[in-house]
Amino acid sequence: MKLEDLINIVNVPVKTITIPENIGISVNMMRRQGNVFAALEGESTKVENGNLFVKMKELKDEEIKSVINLWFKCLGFKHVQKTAVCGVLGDKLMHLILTALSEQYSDKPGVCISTLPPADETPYKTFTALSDLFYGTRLGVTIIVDYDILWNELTFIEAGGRKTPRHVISDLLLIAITAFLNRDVYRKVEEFNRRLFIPSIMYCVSSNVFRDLKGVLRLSEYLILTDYKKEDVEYIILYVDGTGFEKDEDLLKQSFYEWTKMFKNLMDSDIVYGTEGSRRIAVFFNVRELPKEKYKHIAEKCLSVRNMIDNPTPAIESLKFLGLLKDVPS
Amino acid sequence: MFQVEASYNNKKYVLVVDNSHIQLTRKKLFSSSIETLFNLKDFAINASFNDTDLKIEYRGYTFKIHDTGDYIRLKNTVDEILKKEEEERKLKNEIELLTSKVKTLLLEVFTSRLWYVTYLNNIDKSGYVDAIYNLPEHISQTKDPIEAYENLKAKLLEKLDELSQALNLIDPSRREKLLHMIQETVAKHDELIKDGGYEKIPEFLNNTKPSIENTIGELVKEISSLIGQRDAKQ
Repeated sequence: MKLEDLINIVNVPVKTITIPENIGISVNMMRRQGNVFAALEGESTKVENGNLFVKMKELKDEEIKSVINLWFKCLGFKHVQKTAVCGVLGDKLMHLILTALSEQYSDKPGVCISTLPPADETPYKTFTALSDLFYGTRLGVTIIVDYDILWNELTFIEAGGRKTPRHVISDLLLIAITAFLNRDVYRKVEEFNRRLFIPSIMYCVSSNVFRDLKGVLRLSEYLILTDYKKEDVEYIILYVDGTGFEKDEDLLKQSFYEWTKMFKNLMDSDIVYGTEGSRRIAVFFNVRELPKEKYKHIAEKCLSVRNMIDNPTPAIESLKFLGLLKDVPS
Repeated sequence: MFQVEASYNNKKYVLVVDNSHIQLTRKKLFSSSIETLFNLKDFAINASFNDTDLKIEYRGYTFKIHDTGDYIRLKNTVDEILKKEEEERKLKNEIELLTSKVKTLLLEVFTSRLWYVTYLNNIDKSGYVDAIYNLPEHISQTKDPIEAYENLKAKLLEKLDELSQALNLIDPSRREKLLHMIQETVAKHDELIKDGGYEKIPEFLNNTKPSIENTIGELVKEISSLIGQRDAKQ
């Protein structure tokens, strides 16, 4: 009797397990959406529909980290090329995920998306958030969202419903998976010394509503760049998905490149097309540093507690990364 | 019963062959005397036949058979006994194979297959992440979804290879009965797996053991009765 005959009788099915090339992780934000998996605090520690739930109160940090590492293995991280993480800096689960990623998978470049600590945040929380940002910056690309901008209603309305800040950040993650983890885009991004981006996201963008793309871009620029120096922008990515502007690709490109001329030090720009037809546009501006005047409070709060902390280095490094350490009284 | 005339050391002998013994009788001029009694089976196993000079060596004796017909008859009798012995040995080996190796391998094949198919089934039902997270690591040897798939498949194929080699040593008609039982069990498992997770596997296996025991038991009974029939004939 041949082995093949027995295999036929026993019926040995075969399967191809497809692990996404790029994986997104949202921390305490949303449930799984496609290649974006969620890590959430839960009533029990389990994995459900690919999402990780951790009963934080019951476990010590090292135990949580080992659960996270187990989840990473189950996600097939060994085969994943790039990762993107989003969450609130200073959140304990976010901190543990960022440290686990930088310890175990430092060879996999990725993206970290988060908000800056709001202006009314306490010094200690601001310090903690910046410490976590240090691990986030080690992933590769950092997308920083100004907390105040998240409350701007113009960016918030989608299909008649208000988006919460959490939703906006999650949507940025979904866009980042397509835009930043694109091989060509990432290759370009790698060339920048400071891979720091600030984003503008607009919902319900449609060629029926806006006369032309330039109008959309000007609005985006107005929403985001009022506090930033245009000459600091070196690279721009336009993410466009299901708006109708894509239909005339030549016009879209022409409008976009025309608009980018105002950035005197711009080295390069790219358009990335989404595939879900979600009627949204996101513009990512690469900046050398954050405007010191606007974010002076972050540096001050962070430095005010540094002498009370065992290891202030990560937070200090984050301040340097953001360009906020110079000219700040020590 | 038949007789064969032979000579050894210039003396004449008669070998009286019945179903179980050879009686060695020394033939003298006016009388004859029984010299010894050989066990026929022992004779068949240990005697060496030389077809060129019609001589038979056995336990220090070298008998020369005078008549070619007698030599062939004795040799055929021995061949027949050896053939029966060989068949009986094969049957006994088959019992040994069935009760030890095949029984163990069947359970191992069903165990490996249940884990493998349930893993694939869980991937379809709840995605690869949940499927590997809930799979015990001592079963998959890894928590990587692709490596786990490869490990589980390799283990199943390894056990199937061992089983196919063992099945080749079993009589074709009995092998068919085993294959039929395998086919039925696999179909039953596939039906059960549809609604069950990993935690159900020990229960499925416990329910499978009796059917393995029964099939093997029936085959052993069949072989034992064949051996019994042979013994009765002898």
